Amino acid sequence: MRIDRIRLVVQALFFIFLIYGGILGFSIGNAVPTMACIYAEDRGGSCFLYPFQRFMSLPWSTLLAATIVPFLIYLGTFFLWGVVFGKAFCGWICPLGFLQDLLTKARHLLGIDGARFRWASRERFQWVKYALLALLILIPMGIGSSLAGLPKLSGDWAVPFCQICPGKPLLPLFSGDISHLIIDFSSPVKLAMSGLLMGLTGLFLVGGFVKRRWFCLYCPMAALLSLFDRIGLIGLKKKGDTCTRCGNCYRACPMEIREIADIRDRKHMVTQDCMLCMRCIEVCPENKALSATFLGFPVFTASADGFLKRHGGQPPLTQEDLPHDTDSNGS
Amino acid sequence: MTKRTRYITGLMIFLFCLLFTRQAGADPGYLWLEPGPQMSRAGGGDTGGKSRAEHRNSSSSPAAASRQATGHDVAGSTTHAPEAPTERKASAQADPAKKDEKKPPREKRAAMSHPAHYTLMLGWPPGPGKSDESLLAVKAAIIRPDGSTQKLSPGLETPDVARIRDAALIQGRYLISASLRQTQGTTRYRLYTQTVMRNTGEKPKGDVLPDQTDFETDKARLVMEDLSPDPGKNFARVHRKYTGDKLPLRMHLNELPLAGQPVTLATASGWRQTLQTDEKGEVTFALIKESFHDEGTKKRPVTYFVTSEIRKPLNSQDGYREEVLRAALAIMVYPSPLDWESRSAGIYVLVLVMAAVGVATAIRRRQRRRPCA
Repeated sequence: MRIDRIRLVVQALFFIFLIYGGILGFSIGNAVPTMACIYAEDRGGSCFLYPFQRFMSLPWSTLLAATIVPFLIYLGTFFLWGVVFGKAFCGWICPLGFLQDLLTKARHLLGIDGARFRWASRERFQWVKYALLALLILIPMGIGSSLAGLPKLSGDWAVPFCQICPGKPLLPLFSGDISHLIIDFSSPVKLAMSGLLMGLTGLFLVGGFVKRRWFCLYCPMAALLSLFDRIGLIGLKKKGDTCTRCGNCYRACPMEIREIADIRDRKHMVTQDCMLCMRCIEVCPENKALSATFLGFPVFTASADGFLKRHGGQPPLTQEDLPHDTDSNGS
Repeated sequence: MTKRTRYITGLMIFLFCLLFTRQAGADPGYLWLEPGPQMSRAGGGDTGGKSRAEHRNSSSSPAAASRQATGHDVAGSTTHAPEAPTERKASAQADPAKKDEKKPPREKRAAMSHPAHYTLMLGWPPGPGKSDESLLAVKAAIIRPDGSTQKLSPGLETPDVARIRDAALIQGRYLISASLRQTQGTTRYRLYTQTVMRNTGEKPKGDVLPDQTDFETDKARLVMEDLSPDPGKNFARVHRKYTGDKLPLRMHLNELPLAGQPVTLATASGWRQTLQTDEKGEVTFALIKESFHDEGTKKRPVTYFVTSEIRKPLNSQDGYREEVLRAALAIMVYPSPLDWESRSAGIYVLVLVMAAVGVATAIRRRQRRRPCA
């Protein structure tokens, strides 16, 4: 069975668990490093970012005194999740990622070609997720305490990322809640935020249809999980001397990570955008060129036999086999 | 027209206006009960839930505020200003025997208990009503959940605030009603109001009797009954209606359902809707949002009013030619997201962005694929 099909099944199961798990009383807490929206009422677990922003909006005197223990427990829980699963949350668990993958599947079914970013464009916007991460820390901090002598921000700025995250209106829809598809007229800040949210949700849906996992390039959770790229228990290793730079891995990668094909002198290949989907290993025709590891032990390794078996004895993918690439000029 | 004629005409117009306004002002309007400040404390209340009368007097009457703080529930009872903590401490130090003195047992109340606390208002809703000593003539009564009935005497808490209170110690539904009779010329006015409150305090020990509504022996009694379902354990809804809620009412005259009676809902900003009761005397209003506003959740509750009037000719021996029966109900309506959120606007923006981005992407891809000329 192909790994992307297994992944889709696992994603669907986690999606059901994270959106409806609460109906049966299951919950894995609210420090889960994935975009499981806290606004979904029957959730079985929710995103780390919402309580994190709430904690950051407390005054320093409260955060570092009365709430320091819960805050540390909360960060510790997030750290444990991050170390054990790391970027696998993005590829295998994230409900927003699953929605994007479904949109891609729908596009394939309709026979519409996808698009890719230019390498230059992709590199140019790498900073966006880090900027969003910085803002979702700084803005809440400005609510509870004065930053650099500036006046405190109003409560309307609370949980700023959640106010513009497409998961907020989309994920509660699956439990029949359409109350987040709104424009909030209560204040200029709320008006701007809710307008931006609706705009980004529209972009998310159209962008997800046109391009694979486009939103993940700007996701601040991916930026946070990058902290665990090196220390995470799940790894992606490359053996440079067996790699022939055929480019199959790059072409198959949903995140279009060029380094996976280009770099031969690095062992750790979990880059800032990698979501550990393991599609690169699946399409690699070289023995042990790429392998996924858990605690350093290989659990899934590329092999010529496996490649031929998975692809029915067909030769490796070529540029002609891929959907028409409308936006890549290779520059 | 000579100068003298102009003066006389002006004087006549002035006198006419004066006479007309005096005549118009003689109509007392409606009588209603506005929830007092103690109705909006713990148990779903927030500090924003002050009545209009309270807003008017809160700054000018610190004595009234201290009286409210002490929470005396019987109208007309003498209240004592509480000792300041420092004074209490000093007096205890000066007299060590006072330390050992047993404090009188405090009245036991459940944490979520609410007293019944209403301001009597007279006027033309939604305009500002008046609440003065003329309202001491109001006859008010309460039916408690245990079936006990008691007449309530209005008390003048400040020169311009007349209130009725009841301790409302047990849990359940309380029915409070008030009526006022006034006459003006050959017209007799009978003004009625009644309201329902629910206390979340301690459960009654005995059996709870069913609601009674006929505790007044007034043959021509016009009743506007609030049929809102009991909120149960939803404490946030104990005294509250929210924008978007339904308000079911039933009109009775002389204990008989009043069919085809026009009933008017007026919002705080003056929007009105008049509906007629059905054959059961029932009518249901939707408590609409007044408008979008810029205060969000910080918006204070506002008072909506429901009024109904019956005019009938009289040929009494007292010389009255007309009788006017009026019933009114004042409801505190709290803000809900309907006041500041628009779902349709949200969906429009979403669809617009999707359409714009989708079309732009399609055009761009088509241009890129077009072969060079």
